[in-house]
Amino acid sequence: MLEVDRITVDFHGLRAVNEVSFTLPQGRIFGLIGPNGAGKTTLFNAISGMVRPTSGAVRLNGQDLLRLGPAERNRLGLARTFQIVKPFGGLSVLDNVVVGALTRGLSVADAREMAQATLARLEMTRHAGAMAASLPLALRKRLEVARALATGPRVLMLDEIMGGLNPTEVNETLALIEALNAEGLTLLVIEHNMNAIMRIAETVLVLDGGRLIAEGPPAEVTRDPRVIAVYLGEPLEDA
Amino acid sequence: MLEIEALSVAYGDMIALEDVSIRVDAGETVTVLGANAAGKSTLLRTISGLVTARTGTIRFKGEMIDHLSAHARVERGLVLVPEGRMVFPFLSVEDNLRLGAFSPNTRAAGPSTLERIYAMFPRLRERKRQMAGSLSGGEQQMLALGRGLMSQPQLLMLDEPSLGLAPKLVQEVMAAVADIRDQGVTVLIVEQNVHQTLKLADRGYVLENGRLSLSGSASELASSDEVRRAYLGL
Repeated sequence: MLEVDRITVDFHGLRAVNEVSFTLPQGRIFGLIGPNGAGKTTLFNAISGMVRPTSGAVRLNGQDLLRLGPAERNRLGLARTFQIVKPFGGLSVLDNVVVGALTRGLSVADAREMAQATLARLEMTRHAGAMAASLPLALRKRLEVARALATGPRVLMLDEIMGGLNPTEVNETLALIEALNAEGLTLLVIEHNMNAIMRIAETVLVLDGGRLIAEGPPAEVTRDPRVIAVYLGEPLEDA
Repeated sequence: MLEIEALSVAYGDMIALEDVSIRVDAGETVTVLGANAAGKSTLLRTISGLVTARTGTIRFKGEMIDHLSAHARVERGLVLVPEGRMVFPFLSVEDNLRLGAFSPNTRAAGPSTLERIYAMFPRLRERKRQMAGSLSGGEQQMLALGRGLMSQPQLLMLDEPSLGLAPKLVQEVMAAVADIRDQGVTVLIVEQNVHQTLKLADRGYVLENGRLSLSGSASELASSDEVRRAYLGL
């Protein structure tokens, strides 16, 4: 269970995240949406330990994470992807994922095996030997997922991994997320693709100007006039 | 206006485009659909002169432009808004826009074009002195579009203009593209937001592994079983 308790993040006088609180129970999928610049990625950064919040607390299964760095949080079972992808560009796709698997304290041989299994699961085996930097953007995003998964997380945070995918590719990604969730993985997902979020998230959190302005089941949140005004622009069509 | 014949492009051993022929007539809005890595961005980059074709010809307004540099193509009215915006992060919003009108033939009209773009995207006017890198993702996309328009395109090529944008901004960007089209600019657009793009476009082509597999009117493509299965997720 991930608890975010009144987290605030300031950047030189700009309040990027303002007193945000929510509890993500184990085994659930929560969506996180909001306009560009609302603070979604900054909130991810605060949870994963990339930035230090001005105030507030983050707890994973009751343990306070605030004094722990990103690597220590990862060892406790928290993993994330980056919207601006960050592969080791000069390493092969496989080796990128091996790096993720090595954080579990595996031998190199075992890490390699784990990485191969992860790539197979993400249908990336045919790209295993390619240099990470040579992949098109959508596949580099999938590589972010593979490397994060290889660390063996219990909570996985995905930052816009479906941008640039066509609807069929989105469906494949949703099926993967559902399968991982069925195996017990807890997920927090930032995504602008509302049809995708509606299908997997049981609760949607909406950020605007750093504040949580709505929280609830997708069908409810997407009818909220405030969410329509700041984010959707017009009510969702039934697709 | 744009005629491409038997275009092939390779990166080393990897063939990115093979024997691709397309045409875009003046005033049309044409889309290119395809899965990731199908070659869509390569096609636009080759037309702009950022990638050199191995074989094939590109004609723009009747003139062979294969040998022309990218900036010479911009001067002729062939303009690309690249994927991922590619604004100059450490220049102001206004300087980014002014760079769009760098060619001698567009410079004189620069100030009046700038006014038109500020009228189209008031947000850019509000932020004109701000560094482009400090804009949100959606605002950077508006800036990239505005910079493209500063070059006074006759054919505007858009590569994934809605990538990373919130739904409300996607609607705003698509409405801006429709405005641009209504002003008589010819548009060639690559966009994974297939539903909305097919509403905007007159015709489309489908690229599969670097080859054209299908072409037709937007409504034919929208109702084609193959397109629905492969790209519309239905």
